[in-house]
Amino acid sequence: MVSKLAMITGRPVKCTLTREEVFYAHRGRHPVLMWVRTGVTRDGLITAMHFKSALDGGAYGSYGVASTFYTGVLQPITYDIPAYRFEGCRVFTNKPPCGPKRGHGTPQPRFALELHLEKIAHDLGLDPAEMKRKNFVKPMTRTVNWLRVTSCGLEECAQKVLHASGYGDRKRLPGHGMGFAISSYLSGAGTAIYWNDMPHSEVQIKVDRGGVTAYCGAMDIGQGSDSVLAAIVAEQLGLQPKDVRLVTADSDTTPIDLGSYSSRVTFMAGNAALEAARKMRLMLVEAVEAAGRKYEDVKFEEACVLAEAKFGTLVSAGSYTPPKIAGPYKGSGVGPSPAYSYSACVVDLDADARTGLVHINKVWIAHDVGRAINPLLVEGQVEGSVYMGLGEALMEEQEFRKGLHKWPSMLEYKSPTFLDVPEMETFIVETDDPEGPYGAKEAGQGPLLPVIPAVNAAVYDALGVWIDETPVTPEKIVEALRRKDKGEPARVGPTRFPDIPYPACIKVEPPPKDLSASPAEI
Amino acid sequence: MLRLPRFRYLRPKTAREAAHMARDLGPKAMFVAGGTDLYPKLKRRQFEIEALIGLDFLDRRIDGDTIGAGATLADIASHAGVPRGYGQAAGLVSSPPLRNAGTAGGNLCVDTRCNYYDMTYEWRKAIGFCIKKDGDICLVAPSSPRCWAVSSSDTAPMAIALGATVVLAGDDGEREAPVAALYRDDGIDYLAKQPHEVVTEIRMPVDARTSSAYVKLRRRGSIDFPIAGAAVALELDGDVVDSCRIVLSAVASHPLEAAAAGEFLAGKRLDRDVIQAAADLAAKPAKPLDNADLTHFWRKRMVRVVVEQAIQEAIGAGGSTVKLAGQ
Repeated sequence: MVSKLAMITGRPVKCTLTREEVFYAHRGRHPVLMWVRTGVTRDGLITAMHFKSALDGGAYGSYGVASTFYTGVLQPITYDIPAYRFEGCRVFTNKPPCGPKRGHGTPQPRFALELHLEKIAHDLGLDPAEMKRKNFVKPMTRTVNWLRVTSCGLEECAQKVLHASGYGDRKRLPGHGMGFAISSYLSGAGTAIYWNDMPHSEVQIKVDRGGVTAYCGAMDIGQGSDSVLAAIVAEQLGLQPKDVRLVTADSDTTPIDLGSYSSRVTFMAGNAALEAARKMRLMLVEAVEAAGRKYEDVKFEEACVLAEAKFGTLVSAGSYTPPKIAGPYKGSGVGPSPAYSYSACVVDLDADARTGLVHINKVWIAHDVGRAINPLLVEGQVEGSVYMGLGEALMEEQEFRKGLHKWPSMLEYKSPTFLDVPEMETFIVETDDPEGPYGAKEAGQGPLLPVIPAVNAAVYDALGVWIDETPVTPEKIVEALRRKDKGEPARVGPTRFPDIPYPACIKVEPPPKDLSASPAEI
Repeated sequence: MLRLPRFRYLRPKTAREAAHMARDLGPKAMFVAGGTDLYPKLKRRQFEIEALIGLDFLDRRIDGDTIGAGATLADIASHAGVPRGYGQAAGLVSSPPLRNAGTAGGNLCVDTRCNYYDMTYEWRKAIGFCIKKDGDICLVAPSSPRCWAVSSSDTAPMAIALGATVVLAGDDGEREAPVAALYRDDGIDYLAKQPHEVVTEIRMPVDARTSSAYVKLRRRGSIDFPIAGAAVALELDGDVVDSCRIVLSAVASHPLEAAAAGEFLAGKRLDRDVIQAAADLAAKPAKPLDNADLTHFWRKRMVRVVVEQAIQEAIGAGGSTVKLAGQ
């Protein structure tokens, strides 16, 4: 609309929304009601899981179908679940429409799954963190729902945060608690929302008498994707990032990139940049060696002169298309990704029994990003995720009253201020993914996910009550403690899951677990 | 984007001139000092006026027991000469940029709040206008004939507890009145002063024997208005309370003095049980309703906690294990 108006008027056009309009027009996270049943051995090994979800979709479809699948597909990507059944549905309601938001449909089931496993561990008399670790997926395996796990730093992430926080040796004091949770997320969806066989990302490089320009459609929305592109091209050519000129996010001049969503840009545009830069490097090396010299021994400008003299105008192009690894069943397109990031988190908090007030003391978080091309940006993404996760855990909630959003304003819809953010300790774990550019995976969404269940688990650790929903407000804690004192179940949260006439499940044989064994169907 | 409406901006040079203008223009004009609450409300059309009368002539000095109504909240918060509780209250208002603009007089006169009222024009229209603006019923308590918007000043309860007075300038002279007399228990007509009168000065008795404290409850460590607050000023004779005033914020349409609790404390030695008993008494008259953040049941429960903390803070006793946001 803005583009069209700019074309008609020949003037710059800007569209601004009030906070209230944002609430009505944006696609917020789906509220999801969930039901989980898990089979475990006495030692806490998972034997099977049945997961049901029901999403409150709001008034329109958005990406709701994908979101619905996402509430079911990533459970087996962190825990080895030999048999798995998932049923999901999404209902239309007279509210603002919901869609993908940081974690696209997976923070909700992650919340349910992590708390569910905590409860199982308590029932079995096991340490929750140890029980979860026993069930971690291993690198280079396939999950029961045909997802391909390549690099996986889950165990290393868990070790980092458990060790640094002293979780295992924590003092058990009333009112003080620690919670542990893990998660995983996709480095870009393996199946594009645009249904065709063309690449998801393309990069062109031009070398012109010493000047390097990279063209890419990727949009830097503040996450720093420009710096990643420059770093990858510079690394291949033996330059500094500042030596690479970038032309990005202009559909007039740059080749296609599907966009900044789905945690895909570093992985996919990065791989396209890497391919283009490798091709350029080959030309430069060939020209230098034809002159009887070594690439390492000549100045870059000199190499360019030699190459341009030999080949004419120097251009190269690279592109990236994710591998077709979806399982042989309908709906398998949601979930596959060329690589998965992994995170683990420990939250330390004080929870006051009289008032229900929670004070977060510290958060430890480790994130397996494969390889940190720009460590500062990775830390920024991880810490921003902790901030946002704590907001979702403790404050954010879209409430409705008389059919209207209850408080659609900056002031009344609470998200944390600087003063509400605790100390954080961030660990970057590098596992060198075989398919990521220089081994890199995503960092933009995954680290948010473990923060929320870790808060609820820590509240249980502190006070012995479960808040089985978000946000964890003081009044819910007070109410759960009241119920506990009366001998009722010591929890606040949904009490039933409706009978939903789900369609019959599609049964799928699991693939060979070992990634080196190729399944006949692929 | 919410835009300000068109209005005239008048710049009187004295309070008398300002009062004249206000009397002439009547309800078509409002005073503006820091404007931190007024301008957003103009954008949401909670106030509809034709003119603003700027009060930037007001004295900003803090001098002994006299605080110019134009003194900023930031200046008060960092001034060593004001009673401790008053400085605390000023320092807990909103956020640093807003404290740099917001004034002593403005915070005393700040509009009452309600989450059916502090919304955009379109939202209020959609849900049905309320009695405070454009409508004829109170959406919080529909069977009640009055407005239940909440007094949300942090400094007013403290000023009352400290026995402060204000100087009010009209177009025909000045008068001095207790801060407590500035308020009415009504969400709409919450100020008892004449509409054209300007608060020019706050006179705060500074007594070395008085210790005071203000404790504020809000969801976050910054920005938020109080959802319960307690201002305590007491005089000790050794470890026995000589006199004590406790005033609550954000639990009624006016700063609510918990007189029974203050009287109860007089002549008592302050120990844990006495403080708790006083806090229970203080919480009794508080009637939070479902028109602010979090549930009113919980806010009512929390009044005891903030009163306890404020008494402990005033006598310099730590011992509270609960950390409130931003404190």
